[in-house]
Amino acid sequence: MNELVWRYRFTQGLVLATLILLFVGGLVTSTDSGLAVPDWPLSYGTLFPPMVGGIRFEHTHRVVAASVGFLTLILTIWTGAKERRASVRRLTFVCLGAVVLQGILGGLTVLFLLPVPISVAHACIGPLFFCLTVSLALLTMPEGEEAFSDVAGGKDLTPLQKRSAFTTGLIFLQIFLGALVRHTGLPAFVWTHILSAFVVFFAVGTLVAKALTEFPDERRVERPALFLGFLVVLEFFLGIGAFLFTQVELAESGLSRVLFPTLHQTLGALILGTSTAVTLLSWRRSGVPA
Amino acid sequence: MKKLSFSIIGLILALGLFGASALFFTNAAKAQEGSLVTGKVLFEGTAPAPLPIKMDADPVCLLQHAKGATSEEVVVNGNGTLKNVFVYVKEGLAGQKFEAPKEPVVFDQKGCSYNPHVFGIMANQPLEILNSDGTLHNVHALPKASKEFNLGMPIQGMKLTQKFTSPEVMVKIKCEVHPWMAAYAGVLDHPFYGVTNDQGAFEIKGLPAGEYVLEAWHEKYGSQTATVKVPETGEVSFTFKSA
Repeated sequence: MNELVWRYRFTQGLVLATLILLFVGGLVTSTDSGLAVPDWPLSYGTLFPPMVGGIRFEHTHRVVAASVGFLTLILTIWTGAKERRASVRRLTFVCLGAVVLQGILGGLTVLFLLPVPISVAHACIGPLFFCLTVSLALLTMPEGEEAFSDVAGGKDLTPLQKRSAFTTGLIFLQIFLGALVRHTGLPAFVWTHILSAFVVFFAVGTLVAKALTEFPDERRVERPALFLGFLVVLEFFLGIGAFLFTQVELAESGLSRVLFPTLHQTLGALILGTSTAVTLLSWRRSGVPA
Repeated sequence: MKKLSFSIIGLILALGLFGASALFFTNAAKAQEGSLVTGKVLFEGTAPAPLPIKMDADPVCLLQHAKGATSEEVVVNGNGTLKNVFVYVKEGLAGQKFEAPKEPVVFDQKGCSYNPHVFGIMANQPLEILNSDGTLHNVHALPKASKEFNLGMPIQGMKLTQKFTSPEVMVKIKCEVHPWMAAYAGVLDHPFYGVTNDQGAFEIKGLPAGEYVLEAWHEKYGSQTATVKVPETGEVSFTFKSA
């Protein structure tokens, strides 16, 4: 295999590691373990404290986050050395900056005892970083150099490009509302998040329809669009579960109370990443003659 | 909230005209020279079964409770009284100032639970926090009026001292390592408070003669208030129930 393929696979690994990191981070919030380790960057003054109680979640999150940061650093150096496209090199630097910023925000949440603005920012930058890794994975596909050659071009946007970018923005807004729900618990945010879910649901539905009708023969757009639709349906049910177990308090404690909101949050990031992929692929299609 | 009620029967004994008068005139913190207020908090209704706590998350905690541990959220004593109710003077001391004691309130983490579970402390009085356990804890206090703190206590026998600077009823203290661990501190600017024990009894020492609003606070059943007159001699009793 040549270098391009290896780098593409490495980037795919980073995407997967980031998704795992998002899940582990969600577990920290769901188990209320965010302050189980009161110091940062060390944990109880050591690199590896006894893994008991809430420390298991918080310290695992730190270890996985450090690993993702390290992988991003390697990818940045690798891309800097081998990548010909300046835009991709710049994107890896943005990725590195985002992961460093995210790490610092995570530390600040510990040192300042979970202030809402920092916690919400931390919850939003995680999915954004995931989108950056998804974008990098698409751009570093072996055929990516040619396929995305006109991404930065100044052509008029197609309806699909407009709609997919708009839907991605809506999904991010929904993630922001979800973060407010998680970190404030205020009913106003809960209901806004629920109502806007219907808007996102509609927007994704129309995006999927657009992708299928505009590019009936283009599987690269069709498949992720269908996958996006499936994820949103699944997310809808996970959201209902999260609401019942955390807001209505269907159960006093237990696995459901932890798993539903954590999966809901993680899937939210995956939806954002998939929507980003659809957006990028809609550009790809315009760059490659039919 | 489950509809249960608890009641307080306070037996107030005034123990000396001189002490009470001196307190009024000097505004000094000589609480022990005033009256002694004692009482009980009765529990009405069916006592809930003790809630078991799963301590599997930490083997050190698990080993200390071979027969299993139960939650201290609601502890109904054998005599039909309620434990861990914080009773304090809410109104009636306006304009008086009381110096915070220099002796600390000792707050221990033992058997992966807090001892005491509910306690009173004066603003700016030292709070000595101990870790008697062979495992690590974090002590996270969540006051709104004072500065929040979250301290790591990884070593057995470790001691730390903190203060709450402003009155607040109640301040929750919790451990995120062991999520079942919670305690509540009533922070006051006077020393007239008590906590019901395993007989459901409380006592408030040194209260000057006068009319006061007492409040009884429980972490599950909420708060109740009652107005009482503390005479210089004789005895007074009162009862109140939740709405």
